[in-house]
Amino acid sequence: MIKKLLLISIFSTAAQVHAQVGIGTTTPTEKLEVVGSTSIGTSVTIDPTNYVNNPSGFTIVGTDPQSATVNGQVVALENLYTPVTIQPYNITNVYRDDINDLNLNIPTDKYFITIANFEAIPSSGNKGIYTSNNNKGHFVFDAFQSGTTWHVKIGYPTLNTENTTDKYTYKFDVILYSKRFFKNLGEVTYNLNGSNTGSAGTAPIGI
Amino acid sequence: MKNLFISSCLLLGSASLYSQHGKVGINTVTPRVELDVNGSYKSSKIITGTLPFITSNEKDRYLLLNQSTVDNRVRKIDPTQPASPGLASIITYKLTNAKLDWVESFNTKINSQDYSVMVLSAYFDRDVKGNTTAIPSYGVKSFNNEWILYADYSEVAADTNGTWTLVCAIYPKTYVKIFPERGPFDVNSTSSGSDNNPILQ
Repeated sequence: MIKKLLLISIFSTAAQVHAQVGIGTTTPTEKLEVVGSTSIGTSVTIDPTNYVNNPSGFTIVGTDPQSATVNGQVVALENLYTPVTIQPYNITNVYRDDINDLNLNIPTDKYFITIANFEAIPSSGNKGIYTSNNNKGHFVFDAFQSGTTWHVKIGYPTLNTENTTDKYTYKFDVILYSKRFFKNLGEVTYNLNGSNTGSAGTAPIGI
Repeated sequence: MKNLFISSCLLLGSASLYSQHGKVGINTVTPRVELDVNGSYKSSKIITGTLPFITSNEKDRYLLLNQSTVDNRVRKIDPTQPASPGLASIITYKLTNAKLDWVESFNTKINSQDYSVMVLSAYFDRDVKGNTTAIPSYGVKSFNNEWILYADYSEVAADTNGTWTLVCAIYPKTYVKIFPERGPFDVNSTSSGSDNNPILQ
């Protein structure tokens, strides 16, 4: 008899609306309130009724595929272990203007990097890049992969400062994009055939 | 009473509701947490308690979540899957055999209504020559709803056709906003200025 009553009451709860259901609480304030954890096996769908409207009042959430008890625990980022990391560098006593190969030892399997906010500070007496003719050289600013790590090349490869005693201090920020969040589409080459215009056949796939 | 509670189980159409030791399972007889739904879940709003922060154990394996604007489902972002986009894409365009050092326009075919594109860094591969020196300029502009790359050393030129290498980030506009251009800021022939009313959200 009790079993039958229980059946009816739960059936009614499932079949009807306007009821508030509590699990682990006798005083639910929401339609369904769980004191404890909730696990969804297949998918979660939320009607898009609310949007973020306070730029400093939210955190991004992630999921841990290997969490204990149930995989896929939702976790908050706050300011720990963010998707993008910015690492400022200060490289002093550069011989003339050339960093040919600076190994940052940042693993290429985990990250893609770019350089930003570059600043070149000449040492005392360093009058800058020297040229006695009309060759103005070219400035290279390149983050490249070598072995399993990221390296940086900065400088005028064909020109130099006037004196061998000249030095530069290079300051720049390295932006580390984790490959778990950012898609690396690699390098694509297009031959412009001597023209100043060109076009990709299609937009990159997978953006 | 306890036995009765444990043994009680219901069939509701195709789904089953079970209760055991204060844990409720939907479509499962062995709920692992207080509410364990073996299937999908839909609601208008989810309120959680304070979520745990990412730990050092999780820092190299956690993934981000997003919500589809098409079916409203919450999914994880996993750019290692071929068809799955990331928060953004990073692509390096190597434009070879340009007209000396000048790329007036290269159409990436990327839709500028849906994506924002930024050149993060760029360089040219050979010497440029001229009586004056020059500042390289490069970037993207939107034309006919497509992103166009450009790169050039003005006033000086290379002797031979060269290669521009441009590293670009591609962001979906669903979460990277582009504001209209600010300015012009007239700095009145001085070398400094200030934006006293910056646009911040």
